[in-house]
Amino acid sequence: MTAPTRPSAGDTAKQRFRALFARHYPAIFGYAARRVGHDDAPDTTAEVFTVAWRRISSVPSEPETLQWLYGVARRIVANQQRARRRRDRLDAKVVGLGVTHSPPPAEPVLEALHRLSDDDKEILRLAAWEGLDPADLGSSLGCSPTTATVRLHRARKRLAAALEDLDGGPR
Amino acid sequence: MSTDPFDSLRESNPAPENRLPEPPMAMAERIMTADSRPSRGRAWPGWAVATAAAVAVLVVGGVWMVWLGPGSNNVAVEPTTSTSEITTTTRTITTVALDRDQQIAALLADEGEILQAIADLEATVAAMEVELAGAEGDELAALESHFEEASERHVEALQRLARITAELEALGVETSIGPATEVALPPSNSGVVYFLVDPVNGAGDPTLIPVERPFGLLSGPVDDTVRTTLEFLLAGPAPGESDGVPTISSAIPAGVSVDDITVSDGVATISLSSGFDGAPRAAVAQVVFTATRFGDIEAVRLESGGSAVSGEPLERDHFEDALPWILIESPTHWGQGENPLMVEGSANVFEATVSLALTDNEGLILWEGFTTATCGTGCRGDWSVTIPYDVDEPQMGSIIAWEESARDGSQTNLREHPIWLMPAPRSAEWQVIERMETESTGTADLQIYVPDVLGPEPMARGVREVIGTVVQEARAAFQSEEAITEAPAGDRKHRFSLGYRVLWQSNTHLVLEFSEYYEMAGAVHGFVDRYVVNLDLTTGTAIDVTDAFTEDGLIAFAGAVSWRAQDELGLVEVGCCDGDPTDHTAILPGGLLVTLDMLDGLPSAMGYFDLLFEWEEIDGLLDPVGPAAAVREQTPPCSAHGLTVKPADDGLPDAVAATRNRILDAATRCDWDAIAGIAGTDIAYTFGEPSDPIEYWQLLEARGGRPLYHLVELLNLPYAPIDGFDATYYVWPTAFSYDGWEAVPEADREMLVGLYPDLSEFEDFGGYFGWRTGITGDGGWNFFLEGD
Repeated sequence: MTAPTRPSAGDTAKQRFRALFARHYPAIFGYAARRVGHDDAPDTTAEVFTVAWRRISSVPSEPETLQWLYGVARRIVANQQRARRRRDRLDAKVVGLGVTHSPPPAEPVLEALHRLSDDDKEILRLAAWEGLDPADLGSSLGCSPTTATVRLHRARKRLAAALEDLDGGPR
Repeated sequence: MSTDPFDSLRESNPAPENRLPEPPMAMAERIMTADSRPSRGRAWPGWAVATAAAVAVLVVGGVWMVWLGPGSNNVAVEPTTSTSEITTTTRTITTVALDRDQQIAALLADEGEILQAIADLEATVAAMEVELAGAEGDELAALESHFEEASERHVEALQRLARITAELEALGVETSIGPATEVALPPSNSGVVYFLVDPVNGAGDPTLIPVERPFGLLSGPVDDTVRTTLEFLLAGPAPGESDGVPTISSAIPAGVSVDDITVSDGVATISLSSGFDGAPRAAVAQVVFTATRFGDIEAVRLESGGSAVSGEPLERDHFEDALPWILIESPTHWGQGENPLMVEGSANVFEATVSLALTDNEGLILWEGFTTATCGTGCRGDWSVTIPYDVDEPQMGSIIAWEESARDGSQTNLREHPIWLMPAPRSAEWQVIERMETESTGTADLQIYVPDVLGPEPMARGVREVIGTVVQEARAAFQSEEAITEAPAGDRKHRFSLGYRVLWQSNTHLVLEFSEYYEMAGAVHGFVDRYVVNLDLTTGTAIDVTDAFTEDGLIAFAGAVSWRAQDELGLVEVGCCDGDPTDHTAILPGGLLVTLDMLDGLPSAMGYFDLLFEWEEIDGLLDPVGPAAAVREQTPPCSAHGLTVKPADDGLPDAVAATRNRILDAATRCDWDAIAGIAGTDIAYTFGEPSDPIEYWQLLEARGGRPLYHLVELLNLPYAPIDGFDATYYVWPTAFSYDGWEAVPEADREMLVGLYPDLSEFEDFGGYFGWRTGITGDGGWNFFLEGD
């Protein structure tokens, strides 16, 4: 329905970039802060917008811009986390120890979240923290709203199960 | 914990909305300066394409067939094979010292981690492959280096996995194929013999097929079931079998008899008469399979005319060449199926995945799903699946099993067993309805079990998507992460099966049941998921999916049941729950109360829904003629009652104006007979299955659709003439006469506001698709309908 806008002049692209930066910086910063922490969030956010600038002609126009940015942010965060895990393993190898995992968060629901698969984590966070509805979840994750609805439903069930395990498990 | 974990998660937001920074605009300028030339655009990143569904679904006359596409199976062959080897093996931990236990635990933990890493890498590599396909220039170079890096790590991970496996084996943790499941003992009143059947498509050699032989055919009692069964085998196929399609045959020469049988230590020594000399290998396979179907016989020492047929005792494993790729062991060919139906067999198929369907005597699919064998892709494994079904009367049906082609997802190695299907007890709802017709008061408590075909296309599309997603998710979960991360170390799921059916259907809701079974460390686990799916009928999008076993689901389900009751009982109005979220009761008019509750009162995933009907004094609502007849006597609601009628516009031809006025008169008097007289039988009134226009509009009125209100208010508006190729049509509203919504002038749009306060849906759609009506120049009422 909404075709990507393809600005021809550089100035139009700049204006467009400034507008989307001003509009969506807080949301993308929030996304990054929720996943990589407040310390690393500015760098991650900058990287997201660098990608957006380089691809400004393929950034869809409103109201789909934010979902597109979330999609970019998701891949950037995933890359960073993969790199970090690799670094951790390398460090561990050098020191001659087993792989150390970062300590799980203290709050039970976050610990339960921590135990889920990456896909489950992401859809739960997008729904709970970014407040996306099924249509937005779908366009952010690259699936249909129905698929997103079902995935979210299943992820919520697994979250509840993980939390129950925590409550019932030896503590 | 009483609160929803999802709500707790919401409250634990580490960066809430109100604590986010202002956009640092200087950073925007820096980004643009550092990278001053935006690249040429590409439509949408390739990773979005990678998630496209791999499920193709076909609707055949309201019946569902799902083909699971190749999905992620077509990634690199090597990792897939190694993963499937691991998930289909059993680890038996033998005597080990304490420190070894710890070492093993650590190794198994490492193994779990590395398997997860491999799964992650495979997903990454697969996604990258897609992205590479659409990349060019610098982007391509960057992607290629990432891709190489990921591939290298993949190889490293596989090597590490091999080392861990070797270390585990050194510690005495054996890797072996899981133990074969015992074939169920044949019931004592019949024996099972193995004949040969031609393959479905005519290509290849005949393969073994189990056929049942009831002992009741014999005149005397049976003392030795093994001997009697073998005698049935030697007698060969019955006339109806040997000349039927597909043809059943036997390779055993005619005239062979059983001389002697002894069974000792699991080995049966069977002496046949000399006529068996020189019998083909398939004949030997028939004897071995028939004898070893008995639980206490594992191998057969076969003699013919006093001399041994083979040096060593023969087992089933020796005859892989005589077996079809998928063998259905139980029920037998033409056997009687229990309800629910337990199907067992063995298979040597790609990734151990056996697809199955159960059809009734008309070929309609009652159930469809898949299961995994204990071994696959080059080895034979056992599989079993329990299939729920419902039929009205005993009838012939078929179990169809096939292997999904690894190349294109098509059905290959098809195997079909005709069987007899037995009905479950008569639909409990109808029993209640029958009682209501004869008893003035009463109660009934029943469990719900109503499979149904699916509804109109938008709904079907939504359901298809829900089913496709669940099937894909469940399968992916089994193949990768859950099999590894959720199972305790050392416990692997060996089999997995999933089936679905539609339990309930109403105009807005569906209840889908998914049954998943898996085997882990020798124990079978099963669970049933029921989802209440609330669908937007116009788009087919799932608005909400609720777990049927929760409070919310119960309420949604009560709504679904109420709608259904409305349809089946012919009730006019149905209320549910009255907005009280704790009330699971739907109060229907005429004193019928429907209460839904879990059978055990506990919101557990293994519960069943209980439907409690209470009724009293339902005179006039349900009479002996039947519920449908009863409702006709009720006065249907009429939304046009007392509406004001404006005079016809000047310029409307007399014949058209006359029809218009007659319609308005009949509608505002709520005179359905008069409306029926004007409408005749040729009027277009629905895009769905036509029945009767009056019945259709009355049903809509009963559901609050207000067609008569729309009819009157439309005819009060100005008209527009449209030239058809054979006649001129006078249509209301004028907006309908324009070519697309954009062409509709503002004044014409404003006329509609009384009928449709929100016109944006027409704008989104690109045209007017609300209620409209048309009369031809000669005064014939031509159409009155809505929708696209």
